[in-house]
Amino acid sequence: MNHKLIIACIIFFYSQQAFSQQKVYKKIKEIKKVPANIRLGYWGGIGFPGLRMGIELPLSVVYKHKTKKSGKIKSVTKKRYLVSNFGWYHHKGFHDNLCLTVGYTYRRISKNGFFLSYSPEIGYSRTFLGGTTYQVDNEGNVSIKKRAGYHYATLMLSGGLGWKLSIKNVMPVTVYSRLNLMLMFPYNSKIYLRPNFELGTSFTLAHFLKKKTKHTTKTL
Amino acid sequence: MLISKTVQMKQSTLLLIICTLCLLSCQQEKITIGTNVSETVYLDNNGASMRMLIEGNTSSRTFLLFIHGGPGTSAFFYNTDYLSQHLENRYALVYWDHRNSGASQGNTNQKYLNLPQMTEDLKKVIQVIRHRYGNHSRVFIVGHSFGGLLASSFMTTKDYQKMVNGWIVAGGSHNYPLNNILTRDMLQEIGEKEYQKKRHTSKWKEIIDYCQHLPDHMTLEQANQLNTYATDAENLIDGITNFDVMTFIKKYGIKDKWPITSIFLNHSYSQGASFNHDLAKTEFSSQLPKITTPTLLIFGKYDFICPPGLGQDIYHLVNTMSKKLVISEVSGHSVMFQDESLFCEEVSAFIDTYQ
Repeated sequence: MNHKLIIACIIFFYSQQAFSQQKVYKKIKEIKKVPANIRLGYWGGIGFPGLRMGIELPLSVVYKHKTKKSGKIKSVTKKRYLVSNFGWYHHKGFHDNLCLTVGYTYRRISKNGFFLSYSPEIGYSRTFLGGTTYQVDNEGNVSIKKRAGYHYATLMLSGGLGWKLSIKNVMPVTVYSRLNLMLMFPYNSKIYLRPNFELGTSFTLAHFLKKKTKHTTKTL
Repeated sequence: MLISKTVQMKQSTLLLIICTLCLLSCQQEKITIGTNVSETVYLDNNGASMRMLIEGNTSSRTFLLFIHGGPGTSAFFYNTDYLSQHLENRYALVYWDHRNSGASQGNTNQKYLNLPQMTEDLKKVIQVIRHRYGNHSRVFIVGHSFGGLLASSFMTTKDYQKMVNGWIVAGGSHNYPLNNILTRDMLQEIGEKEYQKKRHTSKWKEIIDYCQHLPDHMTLEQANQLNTYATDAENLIDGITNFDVMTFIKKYGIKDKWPITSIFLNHSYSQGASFNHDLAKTEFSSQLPKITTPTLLIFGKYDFICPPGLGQDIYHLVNTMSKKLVISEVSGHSVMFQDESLFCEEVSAFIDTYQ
């Protein structure tokens, strides 16, 4: 009995493989000029406020349409962006941080406008210490160090979700939230990790930084 | 068109200036003399910017400076509601994070992470206090755990002890090799009593077995394992006021805006840093007779990490008649949390006498 079940499973598996090999998408490629997105949002944690803004330059857009057995069409849009962000947060008594990053964002948008995205970014942070900073020389003279703070290399990993309102409305606006893990180094000879979240909106201005972008439509 | 661009440029420049000023405003020197002050300043020294939180009654011109343990924990932990209500109303308390600890910041600075450098840092912290609040300010230092070793280093270096009006050791160490021997002997002695009373027998047996094979001169690894057992042992004794670090983090972490990840990562780095090998051999017993400054020693009866025997050693060796050894019956390693009222009463009485 068991043998029969195993054989049936193998046949089913290979039949699926064979069937899937027959799935050939019809591809249409074209180049379109697409404007960049501008983002603006709250960036920080509970009690640590900040702001983050940035630009998303489109790299590629893939529209995938698949007709289901029921006749319904499942559509997904996959977008890739080159992103640059500039942010600031204030952690009272600890530091203020100005952070500039560049990275890549992948976004998977469903038919109703809901999307998931993730984004690795690298960049630079400049912190300003959260209090008057003193230096004392060997004679015991005390002076104030101006613009006291540090420079760090920064890595940021983000994952989030959002809603593209322009799918159902004419408004070219997206709202999003993201969880970020920010890593700064060398921090006291090691690393500093800072989880934070972002809540914001992005919008598109019709003629802002238009860039030629590869659009691929895949239909099954 | 040209005029419009000039105006736009002026507006942008103005905006940039305003943003920069806002950013740097918290670095402007602000010295508050009052009874309920809270100010954060930093000391920048050899690759590290160390946080000093000054809270309480600065108008008293009397400062109690906490030297935390670790190495690598944080002074944030001492800033409790009880200490605020019972000490900050009378004096100003200075919560200083050592280099590579707590909220202290820097880049690559491991070459400066050593006891002599930290001793110089402490001297400069006191110089900053005097610069801000006047040369006639009275400074008392209180060292806890590793902070006891740092305070001992400070008190026995050159004539630094003249910078303070008194030093307090609260469950602190001044001699790591002696500390190890005292911990081993205390674990064995109390462990055997507890074992006979059939309390936590399996754990006590494990601890006693480990201690039996330890030589007087221990390696860093043996000392670290002993320290782990000493921490465990405190939780095996009935009648001790429990102290849980996580409870503190939950209670004060968000409210007081602790940089929690910085505290953990700094602690993890400092615990594993190479200077711990030097610390393991460090002792100041031989230098304590230099100390003529008033001395208060507060130890927990069940402090296995820094046993009361360390307090007795300091008491017998310091060269002053102004000294007192207090043992808390309900405390382990953290007398300032486990016996808050005794700690505040003794510290207040000591400061009032010698300020």
